[in-house]
Order: sequence, then structure tokens, then C-alpha cells
Amino acid sequence: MNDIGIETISLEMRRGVIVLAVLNLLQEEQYGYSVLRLLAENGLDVDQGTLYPLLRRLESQGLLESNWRVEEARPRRYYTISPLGRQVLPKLQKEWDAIVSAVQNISMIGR
Amino acid sequence: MELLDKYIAQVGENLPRKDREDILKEIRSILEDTLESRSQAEGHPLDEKMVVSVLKEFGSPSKVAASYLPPRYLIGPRLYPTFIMLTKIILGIVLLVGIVTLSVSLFQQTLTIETGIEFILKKVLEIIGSLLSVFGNIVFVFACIEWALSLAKPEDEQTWDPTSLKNETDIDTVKPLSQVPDIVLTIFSLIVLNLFGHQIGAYFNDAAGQPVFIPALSAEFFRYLPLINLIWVLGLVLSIALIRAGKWQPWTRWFKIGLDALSITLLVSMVSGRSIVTDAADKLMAMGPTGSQIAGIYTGVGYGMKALLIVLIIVTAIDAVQGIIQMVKRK
Repeated sequence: MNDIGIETISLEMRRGVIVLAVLNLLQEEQYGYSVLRLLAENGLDVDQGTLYPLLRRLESQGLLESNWRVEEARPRRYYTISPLGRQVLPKLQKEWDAIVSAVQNISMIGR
Repeated sequence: MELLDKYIAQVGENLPRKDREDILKEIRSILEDTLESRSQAEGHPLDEKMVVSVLKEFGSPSKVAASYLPPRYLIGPRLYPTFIMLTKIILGIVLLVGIVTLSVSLFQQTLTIETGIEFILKKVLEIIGSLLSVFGNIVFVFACIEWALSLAKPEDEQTWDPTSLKNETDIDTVKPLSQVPDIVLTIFSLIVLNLFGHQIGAYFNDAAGQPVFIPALSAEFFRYLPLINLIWVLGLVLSIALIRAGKWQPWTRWFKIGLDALSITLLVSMVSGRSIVTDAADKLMAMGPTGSQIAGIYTGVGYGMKALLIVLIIVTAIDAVQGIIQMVKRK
């Protein structure tokens, strides 16, 4: 498989976990660019074309809340996890732990 | 920052009016944050080169706008196989009719090589025009169905029970895709008969060798056309109602029975009345021996159509009786 193929699979894998990462991160209020930066600083490079529309979609699904504030003479939209998001997050986290554990077990079979 | 303003304005051109202002405000805020961060990282004030680099990373305005929109299809994956199948069938019929008409016309004309080439080229262009026009109509109809299906209530995955599969063959269940061929063929027939009905026919040479157009459908047929249109439009309404509900309901069953009764009334009146195929015997007889042969073909087609209408009466009556039996079973 060529590099482009591997990159596509890698991108799809990241897309799968980005919701969980964002919900975890937004337990503290953040604005769009700071979410992107914090994800990158913690080792999860996400395409900005994926992240910013995703924040809006999660808000429309009721998992996030947002408000506009003017800081440093510039309006910024701040996102934070909603009460519904707080209910959903532990379930998603549990699901993620189960997936990681299952993939580790499966990878042991192949060795 | 003029470049940034132009970029944001172009993103806005590709966004729906409803959310445009809010999305653009957010994109501007994000871009300004990104530029500020880049300026700090590179240790020098913001310049145009930096703006160009950041905008290139963000992507073209149309790509950025598309990422904020839900996936939209003119003809989506659900309908695409049916679209391809029906397109092949309908365009195949149009092409076949075009080739037969061209062959008959060629046989009838006395042509030199030059006029023959000119005549064939003209006819081929007409066939290509018809194919493109029909293809456009099919795409339009499917796009309307795609839109209607997008409004239909999706199947509820939470309440779906695998044991209900045995009821899937239930006489009341209607699969949305099962209605699509009906809808497409009805709309196609409505367009053809209402817009091109008078142009269905063929050219024949008269005694002087001049081409004369003999229409296939008689004036009698066009007297029935408003009622045919009404029945087909009501049929479309029924198909759309069935797609939306996903099943037969008492009112749709009665509606179908009523529609069948109306269709039978129309068909009986068409069978007992004058022929719906043109009676051009006088015109054709004047063309000599070939004309009288063609007149015979027209009369034969007229009888054939009456036979076909009788078959349709029987099929529609069976359909209506089945509908009544199913209503009785339900009770």
C-alpha cells in the first residue's frame, strides 16, 4: 500500500476518536483554535477542516454549548461540554476502553 | 488583510443564507487566531506571505464551505442503481424508436448521396437531441424523488426488531424504492404525451413524392388526455403518500380502489369509442399502393390498441378486486 493509502486509513482512525477527545477536552471551556492546538500538543493532529465543522455539529446534537465573547479585541466562540455531553462522555469513554482492549487482544492472536 | 476578507467572502458565497453570517464570523475568528499564533511562532509581524500560507492550509473557499454542509446528492446511492437501470431502458427505447423512424423515412425518400447525407445528419442530430432531452427529464424526476425521500421518516433503528422480518412480506408494507419505477415512468409518459403527443407519428411520401406527416394518435385520444393526466397525477400522489407512510393504510387502499375504478371507466370508454389511433385512410389512399398498405397498418395498430386496452381493463379489475379482498381481510 502506498503512503496516500496509509494516510487515508490513519485519517479515518483519527476521525473516529476525535469526538471522544474533544468532549474530554471541553470539560474546560475552549475556543476553536485552542482546541486544535491542545489536541496537537497532546499528540492528536486533526485537520482543521474536520475539527471546526465537527464542533458545530456536536453543538447542534446538544453535546456541546457555545457562546461568543470578545477577548483581546476579537470575538471568539467558546465551546464547553453540555449536560447531555457529560452524560454521554462516560459511555463513550467506556466504549473506547473496550475497543482498545479488544484491538490489543486481537493483535496478540496474530503474533 | 484584504486577502482574508476576499477569502471569507468567497467561502460565504458557497454557504446557505441561514447560517452564513454565524459560520463566517467563526471562520474569521479562527483564521485570526491562527495568524496571530503563526506570527508569534515566526517572530515577526503579520505579512501577506503568512496570510497566503495559512489560507493555503485551510483550503479553497469551496472546500471549506463544503465541510460545513451536510452531504447532498442530486441522485443518492439509494436511487442510483434504479436510475441507471431505468435510464438504460428508456434511452434504449428512444434510440430504437429513432432508428426505426429514420430507417422508415429513408426507405420512403428518394435521395441523392448529398441530400441523403444531409437528411441522415439532420435525423441523427434530432435523435441525439431527443436522447439528451429525455436524459434531462429522467435526472429531474430522480432529483425530485431523492428530495422527497430525504423528507421521509427514516427507519427507527432503536425500535426495529429482527423478529418483525417475518412481517416484512406483509401485504401492507411498502418499500420506498418499489414506487420509484412507477413514478419515473408516469412522469415520463406525462411529459411525452402532453409535450410531444402531436409529434408521435411518421413521415410518408405522397403521390408527388412530398413528405407528409401522419400522426399516430387521433383527436379522440387527445379528448381523453385530461382524464388520463388526472389519473396519472393521482397515481403519483398515491405513490408519494405510500413512500412517506412506508405502508398501505385504509385511506390509501380505498384511494387505489377508486383510482382503479376511474381507470376502468376511462378504458371502457376508450374501447367502446372511436379509435385512439389516427384514421388517415383518405390521406394514405391518395399516396397510391404503398399508402393503402400503410393505411392497413394504421387500422391494424388501431385494433391492436383496443385489444391492449381490454387487457389493461382486466389487469386493473384484478388489481381492484385484490385491493377489496385485502381490505376485507384486514377487517
